[in-house]
Amino acid sequence: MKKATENNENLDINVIFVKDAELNSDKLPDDDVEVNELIDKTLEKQAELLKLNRMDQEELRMVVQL
Amino acid sequence: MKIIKFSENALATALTNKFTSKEIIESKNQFHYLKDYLGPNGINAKTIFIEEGYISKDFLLGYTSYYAYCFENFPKVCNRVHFFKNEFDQKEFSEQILKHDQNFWNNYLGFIVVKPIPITVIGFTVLKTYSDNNGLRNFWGVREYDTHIFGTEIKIDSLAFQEQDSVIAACATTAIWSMLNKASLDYHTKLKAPSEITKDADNVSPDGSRLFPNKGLSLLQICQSIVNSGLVSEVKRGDLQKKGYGEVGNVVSAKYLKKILNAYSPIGIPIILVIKVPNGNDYGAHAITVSGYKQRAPQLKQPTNTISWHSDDIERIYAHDDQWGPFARSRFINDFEIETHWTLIDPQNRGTVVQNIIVPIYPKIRISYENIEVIILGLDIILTIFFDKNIVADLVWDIKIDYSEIFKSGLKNSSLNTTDKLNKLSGGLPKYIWISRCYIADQKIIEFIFDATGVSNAMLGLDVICYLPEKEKNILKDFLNNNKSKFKPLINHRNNSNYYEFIVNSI
Repeated sequence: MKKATENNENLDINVIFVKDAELNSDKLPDDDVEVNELIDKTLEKQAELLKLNRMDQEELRMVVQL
Repeated sequence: MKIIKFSENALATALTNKFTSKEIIESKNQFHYLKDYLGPNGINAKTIFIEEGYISKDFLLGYTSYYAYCFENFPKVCNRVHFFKNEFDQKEFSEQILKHDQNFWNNYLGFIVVKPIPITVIGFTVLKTYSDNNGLRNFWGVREYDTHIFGTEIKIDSLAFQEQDSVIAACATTAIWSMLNKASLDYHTKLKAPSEITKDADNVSPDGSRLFPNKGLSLLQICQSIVNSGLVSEVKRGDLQKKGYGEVGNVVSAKYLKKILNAYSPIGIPIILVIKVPNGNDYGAHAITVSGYKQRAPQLKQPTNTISWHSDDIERIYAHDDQWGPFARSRFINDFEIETHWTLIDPQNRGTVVQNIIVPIYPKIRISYENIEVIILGLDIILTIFFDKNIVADLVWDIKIDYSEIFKSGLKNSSLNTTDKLNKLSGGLPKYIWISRCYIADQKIIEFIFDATGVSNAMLGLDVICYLPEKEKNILKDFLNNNKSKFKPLINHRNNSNYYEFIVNSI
């Protein structure tokens, strides 16, 4: 585990990180329920988003006339 | 030459013609809208100048296609009504015409062409926008117009408006016409008169009857007309199922609408919304053209597991509605309804819903917003897990399409070191790129650049610019490498192996 404390010229990390922030590069355990749920939910969201690319034929025939 | 002091009464008189009385003008929605827009709570006009015998090319095209063939002797010349925010009389105006006093002409607010036909008198109209309100209002769909008044050229930023001439155009035609006014600045796209736009849509009306007088266009016909003008269109469908807004069930959520307007706004082509407005006991389908929005100042949001968007801060949109006027304000009421002027005049103040978004774009842009958002949804969750509880505010994403030359120009002012800047500025990029920027507490931490002109099945990543310090960058790289098998499916794309490698190697 490495600690994020260094300053840099590009970005003020004190503005974005909480005090004593510790970023972790470790491999996540396979049975991490919280992470697995987040991943599953994201995959569902992505599938929903891709459905929007399919056009409804009924809508295409709707007349805009006001 | 007539100079009159601006008032409601003076405006109504200025908009009359031989076929349309003042009483008719005062009963029109457009008049009520324009008196407010030009009044003290709008752009604050003080003086009206009426120029008689004005030849409007736009009207002549409609005139030759329809009115010239009528038995009634309709004139071919119009009146042009100009507005100024200063007060002056005829003597002073005559003196100003002979001078080059820029201070005087800086008060110019624009004009309305009054057509010599019954009822639908408001022709080519160019009026200034509201102020930019310290950068919170963004009128990305406007252009510069050169107006000539008696030898003086005046430039104003606006988007042309006209009311629907129901004989030769429907609301959708007028919405396309306003959009083309901006898009035609690019040489590929042709600005056409409303009658030509209607002709371009099809040979017959959607019900099989004659095209003129026009009874409206279908969504497919709108897209056909856009294609015949040299553009292509992306049609976005509703993402929420809601009942009670007519026969079609899906409506566009406020979140999705804001994301699309924000995403395509840098290209500068106005976006057409197909809306359902309260109309009598039911809802009617209508089309409007969005050319701007107002965004509130960004606010810090506590970190969450759901994705946050820069576009969430959009709180109003400005659209040309041919039944009301230019830059008509609409605010978001809830997560799917907007308050338009149709809502305000409805006895029950029923909300307006957006049924489809028609995004007109240049043909070379082949990758749609959704192709990029699907990748970003995965990257957001990877970064959310990486940063865990170490950040003070939520990750906020801003996905936009832009010209690569503008992106490069912005890089010159970035905090990248000189070597990186030179490498990126001298590298080749396609004309259009998708840029996804990720912020924490207003600090840009990373941006992903994608090719907007490529093939959707290909890996479209072009560059990743990470603004984290070297040490944090390396931790992130290690984290991505150590969790490759877990995170790779989150890059929801056929080419996800290439994408993952590209992201890890580019950070």
